[in-house]
Amino acid sequence: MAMWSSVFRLLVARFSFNGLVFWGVICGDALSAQMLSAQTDLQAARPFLQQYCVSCHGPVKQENELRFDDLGYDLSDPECLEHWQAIVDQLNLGAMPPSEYRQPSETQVVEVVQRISRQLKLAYSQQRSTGGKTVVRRLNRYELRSTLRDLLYLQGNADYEAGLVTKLEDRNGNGRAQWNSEDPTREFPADEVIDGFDNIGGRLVMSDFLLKQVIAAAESSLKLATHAETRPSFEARRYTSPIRPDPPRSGLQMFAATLSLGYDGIYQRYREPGASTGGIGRVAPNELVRGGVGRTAQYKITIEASAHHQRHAWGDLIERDPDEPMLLGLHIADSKRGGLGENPTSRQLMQWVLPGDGSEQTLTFECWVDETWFPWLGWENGPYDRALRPSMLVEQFVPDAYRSPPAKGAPQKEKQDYERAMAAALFAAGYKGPHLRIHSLTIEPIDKTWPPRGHVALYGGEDEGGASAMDDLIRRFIGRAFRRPAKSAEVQRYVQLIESQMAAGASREDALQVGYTAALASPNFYYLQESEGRLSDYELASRLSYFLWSSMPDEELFSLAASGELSDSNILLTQVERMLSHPNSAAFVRRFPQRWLRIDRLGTMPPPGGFYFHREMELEMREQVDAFFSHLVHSNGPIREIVESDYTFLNERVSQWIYKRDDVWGDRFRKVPAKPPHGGGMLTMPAVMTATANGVDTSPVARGVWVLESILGTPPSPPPPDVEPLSPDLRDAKTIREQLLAHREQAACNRCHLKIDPFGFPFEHFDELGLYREKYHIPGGQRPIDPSARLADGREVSNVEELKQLLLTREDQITRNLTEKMLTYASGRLMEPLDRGSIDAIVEQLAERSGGVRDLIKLVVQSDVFLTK
Amino acid sequence: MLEILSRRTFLRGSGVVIALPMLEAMTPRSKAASAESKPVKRFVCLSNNYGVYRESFFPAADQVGADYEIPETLQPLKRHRRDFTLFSNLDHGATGGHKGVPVLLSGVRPHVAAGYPEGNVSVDQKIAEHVGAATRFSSLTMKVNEANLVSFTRTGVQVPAIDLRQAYRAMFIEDAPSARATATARLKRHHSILDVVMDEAKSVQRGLGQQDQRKFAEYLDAVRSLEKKIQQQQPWLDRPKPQTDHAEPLQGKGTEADLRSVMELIALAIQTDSTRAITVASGFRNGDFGLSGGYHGFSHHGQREKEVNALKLIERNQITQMAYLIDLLKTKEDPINGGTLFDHTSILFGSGMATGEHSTKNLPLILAGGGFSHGEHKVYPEQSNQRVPAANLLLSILQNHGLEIDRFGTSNGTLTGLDWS
Repeated sequence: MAMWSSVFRLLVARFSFNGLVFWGVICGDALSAQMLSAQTDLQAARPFLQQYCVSCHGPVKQENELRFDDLGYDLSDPECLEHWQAIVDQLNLGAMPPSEYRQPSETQVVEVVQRISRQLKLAYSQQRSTGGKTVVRRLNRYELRSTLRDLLYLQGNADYEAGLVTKLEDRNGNGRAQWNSEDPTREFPADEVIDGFDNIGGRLVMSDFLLKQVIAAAESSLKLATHAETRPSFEARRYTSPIRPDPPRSGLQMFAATLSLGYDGIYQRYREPGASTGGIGRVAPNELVRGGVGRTAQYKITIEASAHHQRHAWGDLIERDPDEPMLLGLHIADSKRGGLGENPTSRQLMQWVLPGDGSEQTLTFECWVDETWFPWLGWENGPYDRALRPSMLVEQFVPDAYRSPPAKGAPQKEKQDYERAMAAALFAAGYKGPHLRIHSLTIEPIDKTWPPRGHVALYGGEDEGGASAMDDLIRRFIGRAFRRPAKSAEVQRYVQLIESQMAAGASREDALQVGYTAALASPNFYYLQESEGRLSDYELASRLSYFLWSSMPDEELFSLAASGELSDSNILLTQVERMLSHPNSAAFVRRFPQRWLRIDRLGTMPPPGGFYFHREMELEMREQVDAFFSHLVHSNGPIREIVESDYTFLNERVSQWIYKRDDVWGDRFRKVPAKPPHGGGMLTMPAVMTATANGVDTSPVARGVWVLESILGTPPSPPPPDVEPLSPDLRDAKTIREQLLAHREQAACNRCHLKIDPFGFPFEHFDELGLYREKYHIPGGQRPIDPSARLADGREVSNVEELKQLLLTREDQITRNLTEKMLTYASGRLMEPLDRGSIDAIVEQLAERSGGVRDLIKLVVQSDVFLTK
Repeated sequence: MLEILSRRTFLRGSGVVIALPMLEAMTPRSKAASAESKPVKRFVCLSNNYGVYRESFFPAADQVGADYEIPETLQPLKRHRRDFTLFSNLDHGATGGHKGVPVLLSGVRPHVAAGYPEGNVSVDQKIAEHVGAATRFSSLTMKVNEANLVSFTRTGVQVPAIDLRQAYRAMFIEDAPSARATATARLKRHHSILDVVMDEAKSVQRGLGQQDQRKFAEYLDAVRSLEKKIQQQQPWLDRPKPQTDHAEPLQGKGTEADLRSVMELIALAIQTDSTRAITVASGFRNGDFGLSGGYHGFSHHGQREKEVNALKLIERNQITQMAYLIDLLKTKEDPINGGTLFDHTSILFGSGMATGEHSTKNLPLILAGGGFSHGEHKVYPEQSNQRVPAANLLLSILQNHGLEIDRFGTSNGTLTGLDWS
């Protein structure tokens, strides 16, 4: 099976011993072996060129200024490479030799093309080679933002959060990018990507434009960390009934709120099931809704609540499954962006099951809350019926108190008064329907030191202020910012800058800010530098923290680096465990799959409209991937579950809109049993299905390429130039399969599509957003979907489940691919043929201990690729 | 009609006021102006991200030369038929569908940029480098209901785009004195920061291995060129912006109205010599022309009538606005060169993806103005081994602009048959 690239095949054939021990040998020999075989392959093509090409491109004539009889074999010479590439392109297209000349046979063409292509591929990979070394790399925008957060102690600041999507988002699909944040990197240009990765040192580019942005980001972050204001109040704020004095404007919820019940009742869920609109039944103190909590800090949130009448007799009017537990959700939202209404910033922090017997519960939760944000409470799975009025309940369940409504034409006020009276009667008799009661909501900052830690780190405590103190401040700051002990010359450089600023009239604080800005624009901060060979302990600390946290090392890592203990294998592994349990590991859990599975493509070709936008599906899709992968990391789940698992992760919105399931409630993604048609694993997740489609149509080619690249790690060659893409005529009732069959009639196309398309067809039952579809809807009616495929090796699959099973027969290859991708992400460089040994060793060890994803992370960290520059 | 009011000359009726010192006494500019060859040229690129519906855009195969029949989509340009050229069979020779869009003004795909001496710098940014500090804005990158993906610096950074309102404010609304003072202080501060950073960068450079040094050179370049830009920016801060009686345009009135306002703004920008390199990408907003849907969806028309008609309306508007821009420039006197603004402004319409079905072959390209000899439908060879790179057109535009270069991006010469006086 021609699944390994030719490079690897070559090495394996020549040196079929364990790679790890001898990889240095392979490295040296491989290069000469490659050169040797380049000559062999290209020489073998020579007779063909003599016979069919040289009469027009030779010593006598040089059509198009091309001459092939004296073509060299040194493909590292760009011009030589270009010529050989042109030959392959023309042969692939069947454009040469011109039809009036003698034609080679199909087999001859295939052989020559294969030989040359093999060498071209090698040459291209050598062009990208950095000799197995990580090139000095700047931080990408994500890493910069996380580093600023940790360096300046900006935790809890919403705009520095790990999960934040930093790119400007075109939410309504009209090409107008918008941002809803003060993210300091929001105007940064996109980072350069190679093979999906945006942290490859050799690829990331620096420019004056970017430098300007870095300076601006440093300045605005330093401002955020500066707290010159007087000490604010740290009192706990306790809110009791009515917690939310202004009730929603309609329904039962409104009328109930006008009564003094001693608690804030919630009778309805806070939004239509699966929808993103609605604002009824959300409980939050008005003061906070208007302005947020007022200060960014870690808060302890305490709620006293009870749930009543889980089993009730009002089922005629209030539909609710009595066996379903009653769920109270704690959310936070930004008062400046949408507030209590549904908005993209609002999200759930916690979901509690309350016993439905009316017993009062005290619930606590600790979290960072940004100054403009506030917590709110809602019933995750309550009934939803906005038309339900108190009079309807009274008429049926408290008939004695019922009186008939005012006439149809009566003034609005009269109708309102009537409903209010009915509500009073309903509650006087005792509300017997299911509901939640919120008795109190308390928020209290946990850390009461002032000024905050970030401010003290920058300007010193109140007793510091002398000249020597400034030296110390700078030394400490630089040590953390540069991720290694500061050098005296460096400290002097910044102290001088600060002093000159002060001499020119700047205040101490402003002058210090200028100094810190300079340090943050300096290459010692913005670049990860490593010296040749084995990494030093400090370098290792950085590599580790940028791998798992996309941020700088913390104090523990620094102190282990200082004592030289970090490189100890046991300590290293303990640290990996600790780091994976740290909240910062959200960066790895989100960003690695994003890169490896190309989820970053989500949103580049969004669908024209529909629920994808008004339900904010893009964010939900990403979170599903995060939740699943996070589970694999934290439970050390087997790698095969990437392809298929008996569970998946869903929340209500994704399950209702895409999976069409109604057994998941609430915003939180949780582990649920997998069901057909999607099944488990990551392959059929809507994020993948959407990222591999173009927002309008599906393409088995794109999905096939994705399987080859992201799952099997054997990317196909790019299409030859000049091949026109498919131009479907949708007036014809042709399915994509029929169109592709026509395309494959061209031999040049068929050679690759034979390998690509079979991996794409089985997904055809999933549309461009991952929704299951039974049939194609094309003009002229519906057409059945044929998800079967015949692989290049003759094996057949009849649907996506079978494809998954077939992929699992190549579990080794999937593991190998994941290993390569993780090493790439972890080391900041592309894997090269000479890394084969390291990769093999990891795959073998993993198989020996039938390891999972967490084991893989540990093996990656212990590998030579990770531990050397 | 001229009227002297203290130090300012009001060009009434043209909608512009030019501060007198702008023309003579501005040191960096007059220096640059004396060094630069006259006439001073400008470049405008109007682009979209989805190509065109070919059947209505290109003339039939036999319609070559000066007497070709103007196709449906291009009808609005009919009144200017002697002043533009339509090209067939030019492209950048690469596949990749949407990935072709950012290639329009360079011919170089971003991922292979490293192999070219100037990377994938786009025509407008190449001109911006040439113009330097001679104008307040070295270039203007705009968008109308669509991301603008065509402008790249030589370091491969995509230049972010601004919208109609931001562009108007940047060019014509004077910042408050306090904002100007803050900006001046900031430039000064950044200048001292860069001094320190440069010292540090040099010491870092010394400790690096060869491979790292090559990469790190980018950082040193970045510091140097930011320093230079700060120096260039400083004098402009103190200089008043040109005043205009053209009111701040309303924005968000649909693509037709917004694009029309952008054309007026471009004419103003050129007239006031605020910039000499402008790119605009225009798109579609749900509801435009009474259509519901998205541009991307329409572009995958599959020959369905509704989608095809929608595309024609969208593209027709783009051409209508181009014709309007030509009208505006033809009626405005060129304050620097004499003649009309149109005589010295090249307007390129195009897209780096030819059609919504992801073809990147035979790009839609129209060139107007700039002093080129126009009036024809020029058809270049179709055969794959004789095709002419579209970058040749870009090179011609740059040479016409006064740049003394003989290669740009993927060009292999200037465009044969396209002459200018």
